[in-house]
Amino acid sequence: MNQIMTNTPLRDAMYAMSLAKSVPDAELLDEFVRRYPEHAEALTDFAIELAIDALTHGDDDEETEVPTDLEAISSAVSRVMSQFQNRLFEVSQERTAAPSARVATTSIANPFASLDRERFRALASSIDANAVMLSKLRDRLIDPATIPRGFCDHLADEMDEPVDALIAHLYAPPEVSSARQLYKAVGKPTLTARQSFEEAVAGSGLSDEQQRRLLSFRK
Amino acid sequence: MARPLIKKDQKGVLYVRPPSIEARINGALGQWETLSKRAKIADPNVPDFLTRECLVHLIRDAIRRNDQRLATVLMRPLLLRCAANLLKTVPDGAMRNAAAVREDILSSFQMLFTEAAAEDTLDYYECKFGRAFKSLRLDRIEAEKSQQKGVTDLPQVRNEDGGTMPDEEALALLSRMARISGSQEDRVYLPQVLKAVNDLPPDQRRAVVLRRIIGHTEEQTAKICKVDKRTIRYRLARADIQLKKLKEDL
Repeated sequence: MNQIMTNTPLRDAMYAMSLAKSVPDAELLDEFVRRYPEHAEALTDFAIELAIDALTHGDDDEETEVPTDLEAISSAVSRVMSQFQNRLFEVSQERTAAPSARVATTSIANPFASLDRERFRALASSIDANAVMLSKLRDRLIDPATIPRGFCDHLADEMDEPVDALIAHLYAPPEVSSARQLYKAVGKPTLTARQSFEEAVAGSGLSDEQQRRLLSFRK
Repeated sequence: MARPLIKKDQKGVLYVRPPSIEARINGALGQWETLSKRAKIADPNVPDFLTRECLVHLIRDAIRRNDQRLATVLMRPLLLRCAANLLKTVPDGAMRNAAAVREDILSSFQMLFTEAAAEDTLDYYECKFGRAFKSLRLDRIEAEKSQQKGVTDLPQVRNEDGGTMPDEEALALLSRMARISGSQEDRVYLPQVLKAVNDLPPDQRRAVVLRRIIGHTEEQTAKICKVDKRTIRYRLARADIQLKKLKEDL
């Protein structure tokens, strides 16, 4: 009975229609049919169901208090949780088996790539950090979820780069920038776990004042 | 800082989360040790309550960081909220195998998190969870109905008198409810009128919804249904007769 809900233009269109308006109107339906003429029939049927459903159940967008001890739902939820945990385990195994393949599929532009050594140092200085801290950002060694948005805006501004491009770079898998560095070690450099923003600030040899300023972006 | 969304709307504009959701996510990211406790809060009025949009983002983030424990801890309360919603929207008796359909919807939902080909669909859920989940629900229900049709027709849901229903006035009520909130009186009769509309033969139901709820003109409705205007007028008139019966019964 279950099926993988893979992306298709039709499924995306259904989600988009659902998000656009609580009860679809003629203008919205026409817009979708014009955009996806090959799915006109399916989208019209979906709009009809959406309209009936919105009038029957309301907008469905309000959070309501949930009785978490309902016998009727907890057994079904437990079975679905079991499926989820099994899939999580499989995904984890797949990642371990083919990490290089995952990295290879990601090709996000690195906005630091065009900077020569002098400009790299100037940028580090302009954000009141140092080359070590900036290298961590360049090589995506900091967990992006922990980087304050205000700091990203500031850095993007100093780099004259769109902030979205910078954030996309920070969220891409970490990389070892072998083209830019020389390693004295015998073995090939390997990736380590990402640091939090706080750990990166604390472990980059910055002065107390520099650390204080960078951490102030968390507010 | 929340990861930017990559899905675009029908005009090609990137979706963005509502600012309140974005702020809640940013406030929760990195606070891993408090999240399992916060996820258990069931009252939306409590300041630390995690919305469904927040939970989706945090689960995706945990999976990306390979934090299976946190992903599991956050997924259960999210599924419980989805299950509670499904109990209202797909109640027992609404269709054959309602319980199995509810579980199928939940199962399809959890798969979005772990199937690479579908994972970015969750962007919709980070913007407006309720509407995105409704889309999934309607899609799965439609698939289930098609499957059941192949076996045998579903029993028709009848009103108390055993008849099917809608009159001009009842249909006008639908239009009012679709455009504005409708009056208190409209709300009282709405469930019965909707039930009656659902009981109409498919071609009449399609004509009524397109013309009276979605708001197409008679000409547009005829074009969409691939029939002439006279046929649409006939179908609406037939629906009116059935709705008139409903009005007499109310």
